[in-house]
Amino acid sequence: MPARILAFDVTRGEDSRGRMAPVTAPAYPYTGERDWQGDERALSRFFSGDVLGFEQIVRHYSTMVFSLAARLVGPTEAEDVVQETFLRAYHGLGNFRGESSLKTWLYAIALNRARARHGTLGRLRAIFTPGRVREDDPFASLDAAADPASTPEENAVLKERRTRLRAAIRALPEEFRAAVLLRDLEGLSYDEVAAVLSIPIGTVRSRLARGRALLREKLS
Amino acid sequence: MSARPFVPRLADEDLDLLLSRSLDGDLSPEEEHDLETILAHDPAAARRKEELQRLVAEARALPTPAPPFALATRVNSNVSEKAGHGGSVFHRFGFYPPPGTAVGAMVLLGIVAVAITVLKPAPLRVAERVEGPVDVFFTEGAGGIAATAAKASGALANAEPARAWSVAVRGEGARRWMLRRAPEGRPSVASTQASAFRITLDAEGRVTSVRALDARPVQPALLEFVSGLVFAPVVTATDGILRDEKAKDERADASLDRPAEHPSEIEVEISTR
Repeated sequence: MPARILAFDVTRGEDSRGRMAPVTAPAYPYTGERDWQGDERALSRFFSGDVLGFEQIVRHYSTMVFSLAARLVGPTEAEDVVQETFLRAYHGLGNFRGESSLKTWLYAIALNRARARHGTLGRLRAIFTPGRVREDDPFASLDAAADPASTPEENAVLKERRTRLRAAIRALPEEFRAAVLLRDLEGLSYDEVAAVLSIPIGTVRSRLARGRALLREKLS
Repeated sequence: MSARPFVPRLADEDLDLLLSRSLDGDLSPEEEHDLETILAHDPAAARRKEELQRLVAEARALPTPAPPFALATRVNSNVSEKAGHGGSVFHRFGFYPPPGTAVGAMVLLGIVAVAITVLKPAPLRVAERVEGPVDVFFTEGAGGIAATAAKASGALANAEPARAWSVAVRGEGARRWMLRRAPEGRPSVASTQASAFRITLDAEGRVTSVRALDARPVQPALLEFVSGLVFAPVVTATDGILRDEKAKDERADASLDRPAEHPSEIEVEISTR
């Protein structure tokens, strides 16, 4: 019987000091696994009692979930959110009826976990370290790598604009922030955003428009 | 003379919605046409669209945070480990309390405990309801001193062949009074037969008058024993509230110079076992 090889991540963009580096390739699809056979096959494998089915789901979606979690709660707490998301998914997969895609279902869990974590820990942190958290850009290391085709001045301007944009997105009211994050940063369709947030598509349109308008006002 | 095209006038919010949807390719051909007409005749709207277009392009170009090394492996190990233990009891029922719930619940319990301690609500006296006769034990012989504890008393452990007076409050009185204490002096067991008495109690539960209901003569010692009985009012949770109300009424009566206490009359049956 061949030895089972557990999941190994294809690591991307991490320097020797463990800092995150930017990803220049399109973010989606994230998976680098050759044996990914789709949601249905992974699910049927899981429901038939094969734990590898769930491991495939984790390998395929953990990067996406991490990306959303990092943008919601910051990279330092994102892994905890990912752990909680998949643990909850494991226990709740029996109730998954396939009315939405597995991807939007996982995103919805991650969003709720991030809200819960951010709600509790965020408030506590704000009490004990006022003014510090909001000023830091937890994604500053993503902009560390300069584009060799641009001049140093252009790179500096780009970095400054990105920092301001991220700060403006973080400062958005939660309902608009989630819509903008899911649509513009995570690349979900209107239907998928509606499924993740459990709101009608019309509400997605209006929240996106309002969120983008607020961003434009802040950055102009 | 050329016809001037119809230019829809939109509020800022409606224009933002149209522009936002146009960036996502969500407009119908008619809406697209209306928007183009607006943009062609309104430089401010055209500038708004450019800013929004640039903003969305920059947001979509933001670098994606890369996961830490071996994230999926750690997640799978964690899930395997926790699922192997069956998970938390809460998780098995699909309930995932948010972080800090346990601490919050403990703090809440602490606040409630402190509130109860500080406010000190009046203790609720709940007496055990006595439905049947109450046995009063004593030791036969050895000086003739009766141990007058109630049935549940631990003093019976060392008792010699024990005999008991059975003191039963009969009828309606049993709902209001229970035996509290029996006198130490006792009549002779051998010469005592079952007897019934109608007794009158004061507000403290002490016997103020005794009348034998049996026609046969009653041993004086037995009469003395009955006279020494002390009763206590039966108080239940609801009675306690009613008694509080009654006490208020009685205080009001006292202020009007009316008698506050009324003696109670009950029937008691005394027998030996």
